[in-house]
Amino acid sequence: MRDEQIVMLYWKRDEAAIRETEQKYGKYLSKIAYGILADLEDSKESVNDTYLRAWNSMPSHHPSVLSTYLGKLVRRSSIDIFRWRNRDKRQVSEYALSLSELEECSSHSDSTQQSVDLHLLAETIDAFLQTLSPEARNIFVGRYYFMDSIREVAAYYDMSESKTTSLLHRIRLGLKAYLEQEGFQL
Amino acid sequence: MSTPENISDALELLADNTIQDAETVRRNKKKSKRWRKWMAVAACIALVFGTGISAEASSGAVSNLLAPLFGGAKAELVGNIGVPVDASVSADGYTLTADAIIGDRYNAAIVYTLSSDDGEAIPDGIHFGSWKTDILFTGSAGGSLQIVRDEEHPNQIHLVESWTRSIPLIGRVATVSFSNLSLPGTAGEDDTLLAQGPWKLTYTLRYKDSTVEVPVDALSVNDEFGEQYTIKKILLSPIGLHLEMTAPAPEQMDKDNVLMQNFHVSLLLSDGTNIALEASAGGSYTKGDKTADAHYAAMFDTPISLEEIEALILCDTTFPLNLS
Repeated sequence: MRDEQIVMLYWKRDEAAIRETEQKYGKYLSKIAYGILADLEDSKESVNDTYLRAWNSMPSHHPSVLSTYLGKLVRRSSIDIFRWRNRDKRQVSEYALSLSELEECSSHSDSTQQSVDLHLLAETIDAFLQTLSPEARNIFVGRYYFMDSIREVAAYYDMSESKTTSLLHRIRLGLKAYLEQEGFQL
Repeated sequence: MSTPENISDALELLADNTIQDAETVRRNKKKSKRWRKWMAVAACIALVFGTGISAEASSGAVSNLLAPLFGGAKAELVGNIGVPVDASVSADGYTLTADAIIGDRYNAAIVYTLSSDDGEAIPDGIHFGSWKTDILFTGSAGGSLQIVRDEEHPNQIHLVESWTRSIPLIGRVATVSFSNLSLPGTAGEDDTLLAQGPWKLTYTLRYKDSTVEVPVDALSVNDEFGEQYTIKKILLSPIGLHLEMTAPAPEQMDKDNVLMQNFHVSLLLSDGTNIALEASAGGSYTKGDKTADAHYAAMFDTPISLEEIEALILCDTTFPLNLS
């Protein structure tokens, strides 16, 4: 079923919308959730929560690309679950690993004390990403947005894992310099 | 100040087209060189266990059929560990058959054939919009699905589904469901649906477990940064390696604070060949601990007879195996 048809089911409050969403995007959403949570039950909970968020948000939202819209919902849901359930015990997931890597281009402060305009930060990061080659940009987004493992990201362009790791390292250093140049304190 | 969490949260607010471009690349990612070899294996095994090859297959001469691909010794090896599952389902003009399983205790590769019932050629670039596999299990996991064309039979494609798990697979029941056979669209555009399906199969993972436990007595090795790993268990098979160990917890490490990132393994073969492994690794630890319980799992590019493996090179340590 096309995205437009699925979105119309949501707008009509037809519960078939959930079935169609699960059939078309269930695997896609589970993959993102698992990359963050590294736990099947938590991932299932996050994906189910995503269906509920989608149901509650349409109407009024009318996404043109449903995969991107749902991907953002499940990513948010999974990160929230991760932070709640891992306050004391650290489950090693691709999300946790990605945070460790992103320390290279950020401060090491306690996140509870952070005060930053996320929209401004997002615009700045997006502007930085546009200075990169499409290959580098997609690898960065694949690793830190979609939480794909190094191995999976390397497969985007049939690169070795070591080359991918080095490329991500250089991108992180470049992002750090760009954020400092734009006035973000690191 | 911006923290790693801030950066990760800010990525949600990236422009949609930035995310969609990466999404398109993810979907169309190139098959790795390693999988080209496994797909050749898959095609051969599917050929062996499919209909029309009854004479050689029923006589048990699987090895002979695979010999041209691997050479005599390896063909005999693959013949020992592949077992047909004979599960099949038809829907929407296509038939999906699970042909064979190759596996060890923690790794499995399942070969399927999808054929068009009317004999029409299956287009290039097709994929399943939805693919779900449930195996009764817990623990960390990795899996992939690759599609390879059957050049001799354009109305068929072969699928190789592989799993690496941190808990044993043999004897578990797998339910796999494929649906929405489609040609991919570009970013922002929907795929073109060829057949909705679903094609759903349930079967038991039965195959000959060729796993061997290599005796090891708390072997300690060090990575290039001097961090210590203690190997507690080595499980080896002709298709993969599974290690259980303790590893330094990321918070305790001075450099590259990512669990297992600096732990590398190679196989040293009896002919002097050194094969670096690509693996998945994971583990868990409690905040404040100095070490983590970790595992390392790798599938080989092609099956390797255990007699050919002289040693494991674990970071800076060569560990002879004495398996021959």
